Amino acid sequence: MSKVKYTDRSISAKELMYAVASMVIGVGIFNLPRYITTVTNGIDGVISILVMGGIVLGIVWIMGQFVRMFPGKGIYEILLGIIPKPLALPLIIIYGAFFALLAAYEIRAIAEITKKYLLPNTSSDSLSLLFLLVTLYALFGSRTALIRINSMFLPVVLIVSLLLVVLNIRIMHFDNFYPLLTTDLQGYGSGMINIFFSFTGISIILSYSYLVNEPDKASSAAVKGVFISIIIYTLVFVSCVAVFSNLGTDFLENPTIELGKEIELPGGFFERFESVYFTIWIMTIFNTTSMSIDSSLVVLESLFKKVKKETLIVILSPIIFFVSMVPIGMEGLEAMGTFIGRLSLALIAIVPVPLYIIAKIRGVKS
Amino acid sequence: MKKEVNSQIDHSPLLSNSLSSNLEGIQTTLGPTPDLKMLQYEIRNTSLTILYMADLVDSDKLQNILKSIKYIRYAPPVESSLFEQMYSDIYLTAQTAKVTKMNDVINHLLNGKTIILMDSINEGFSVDTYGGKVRAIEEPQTESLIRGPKVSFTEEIGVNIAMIRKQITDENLKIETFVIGERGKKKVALLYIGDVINPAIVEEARHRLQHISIDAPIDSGIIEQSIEDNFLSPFPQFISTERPDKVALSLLQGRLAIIPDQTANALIAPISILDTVQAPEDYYERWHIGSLLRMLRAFAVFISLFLPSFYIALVSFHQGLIPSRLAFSIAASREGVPFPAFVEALMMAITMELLREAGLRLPKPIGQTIGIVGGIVIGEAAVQAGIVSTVMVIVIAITAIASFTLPVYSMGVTYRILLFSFIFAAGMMGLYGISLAFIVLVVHIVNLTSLGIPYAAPLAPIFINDWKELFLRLPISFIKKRPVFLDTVDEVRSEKEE
Repeated sequence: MSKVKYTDRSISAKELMYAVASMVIGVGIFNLPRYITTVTNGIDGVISILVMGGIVLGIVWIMGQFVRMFPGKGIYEILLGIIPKPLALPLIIIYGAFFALLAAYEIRAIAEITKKYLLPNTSSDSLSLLFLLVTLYALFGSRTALIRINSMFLPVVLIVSLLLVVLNIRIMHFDNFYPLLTTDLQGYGSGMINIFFSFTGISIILSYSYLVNEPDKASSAAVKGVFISIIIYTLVFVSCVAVFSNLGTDFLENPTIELGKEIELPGGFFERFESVYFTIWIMTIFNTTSMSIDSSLVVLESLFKKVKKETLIVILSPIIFFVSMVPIGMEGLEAMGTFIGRLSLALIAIVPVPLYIIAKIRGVKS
Repeated sequence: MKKEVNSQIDHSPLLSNSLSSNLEGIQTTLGPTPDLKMLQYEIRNTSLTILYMADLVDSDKLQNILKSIKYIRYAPPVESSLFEQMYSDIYLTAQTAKVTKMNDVINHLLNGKTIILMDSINEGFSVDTYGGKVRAIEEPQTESLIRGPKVSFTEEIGVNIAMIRKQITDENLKIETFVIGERGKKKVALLYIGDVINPAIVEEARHRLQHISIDAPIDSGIIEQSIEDNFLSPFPQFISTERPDKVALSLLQGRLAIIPDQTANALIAPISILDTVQAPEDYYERWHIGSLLRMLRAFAVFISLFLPSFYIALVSFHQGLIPSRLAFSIAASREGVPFPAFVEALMMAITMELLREAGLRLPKPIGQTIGIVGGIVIGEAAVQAGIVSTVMVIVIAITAIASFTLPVYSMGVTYRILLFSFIFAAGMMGLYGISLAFIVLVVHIVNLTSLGIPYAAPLAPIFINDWKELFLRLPISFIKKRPVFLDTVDEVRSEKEE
């Protein structure tokens, strides 16, 4: 039977690019400038972003190569193709658990920030529960649709981010950039480690590897997706430093959102842009969260092949919700974020490299 | 091409040799009915009966049959039998078929055909005399337009198909006919341009049409509901239109149309969410006008979905977002209003819906009353009584006006339904609620399909080339390609180089 080209379950390289970009740009961007300014001086953090960005581009390229080597294979099959099962099994379980943890963090973070900026009188657990329910609605739908939602939200999010920068130009002080290059090497290093959390999403390419219908283009698509996020991160960081100065950024809990506070929209309909900005940003966090949970589901599905996706969702979602309730207050959340960042550094930044080398040595061919 | 749906094995009795027993059989089947007409003739010692249902037949066509009978009656006898002679004679002027089964005779009679039976022959023949009183072609009533062809569909399938044929004189305009319904068997035509549309779409539509099982497709809406992708969705998955030009344009884009008999609407599919903002007139006017109007409609969609909920969110939850001057004037207008903004909006929105529905139901001469009542009650009295604030009246009025700008009626209704869910979301959780409700909406749209084609098509999955006709309508010379999301066989609209 003839088919309309794109109505099967696969995703194109372009859709992968959008997915990677919006997966990467998540909650991380709210705190990103602060994470960097705490360890660097002036505008020096840009170097950290760019260097880390470069490394991430490399990692994501390697991940794309895995997709090329094993077209149509899921992440667990890829792992089994490279390393023996006793190694692959714990790795995949950690990977799945990591994404569940990330989703829990995002759900809690969105609730806390909503409470802070939009609904101060509502309890954060009801806010996060509602958010989780919306995410579940998306998860119960088709996976392809879940990925395609990115291409609807990403343009909006990018435009709003650019607006955030452009509308602030009036109050930017470029003196805030100085002194240049006074940070020590250690500072750059910890800056890089701190921002890796904001790049955690890149491994989405492995979670959805089996859906990509153009495996050869996977690497370049993912690289482009990450590139978009590097540009956004750099722009946001530079404008934060230009507006608040390095020290000022340091004192703000969510400097990126505060950036919106300074904006006065012409026309006199809205005063504080930050709430509007955050409202729109909820969409991208939704994307990140839904794809995180979905990544966990992909792992679970590959481990329990006979169980239906719906059953897995029903089992997994309460766990995620309870985990999201564990951290106490903003400090607890911050600690959780740091933990996730370190874990992701080990799991996503470091692990793929030896895997790639092993695959090359063992001569795995596509 | 004709396909019998739900064909069962036919056990119906055959016609017998005796005319009187045949006639008796017909009369017992139909019962005592005033509109069954029988004309008895006696030609060359053979009795002959002409049967038809009054008002179902076209009198001119009937006259033709009578004329040829008259001619045969007085003409010198020929070698062939009377039956053969008549058959071949009438065959020249009208679509004629032989019938041998009682069931067929009844069916043909009920479908406006004229049956001629003779004594001592166990078959008869039916002549297509379908006609009767029909409505003339009129200007479109519900989709009025300034510029463009001012014709609309009638209830006659033949006339409607001819209207499309006049627009698209292509040999590849394919028309398949299906017969649908158990008790009200009706023709339903499936139209598409064979070498443009993706065959998978046609196959899907054909498959669905063949599996309809309903009593009688009284209107296109019943067919639509029998073949739609998702019956839970508030979004229509077919566009219903009364304008042949809209159908023709859609066919050229690579879509298909379903035209049922006895309804003045055609269905167009597959469609996408963006058809909400697209009207055929955009292509008739010059591109600046087309583009601006499209953007205006896109803006109207947002207004009609979000304005009241946004107002509620701002007034009840995020007063800080309103600049102080505006906040003062809103606060002044809300002075003395006893209800929260959410209740206020709900009351006004429901009143608006009541007015709209009442305006539709009332006969035209007293229809204006509703305008006066609505204008005075809502605009003046409610505000003066201190039940609602003036700002809320403005908000609801603008929302209503915005929802009127949409070219597809059923989509407009969808947005009105969704408006209420957004009002509830805003009333509960402010901007956060609106944002979540919007996400749910987008998730739903992305998951939805129309004849298997994603409903959010040029946006998700993304087709940059189709964006030329998204909210803009670029000059005709720029849009050489047919919509990519429909995956057409013939991708280019015109291959002539200029």
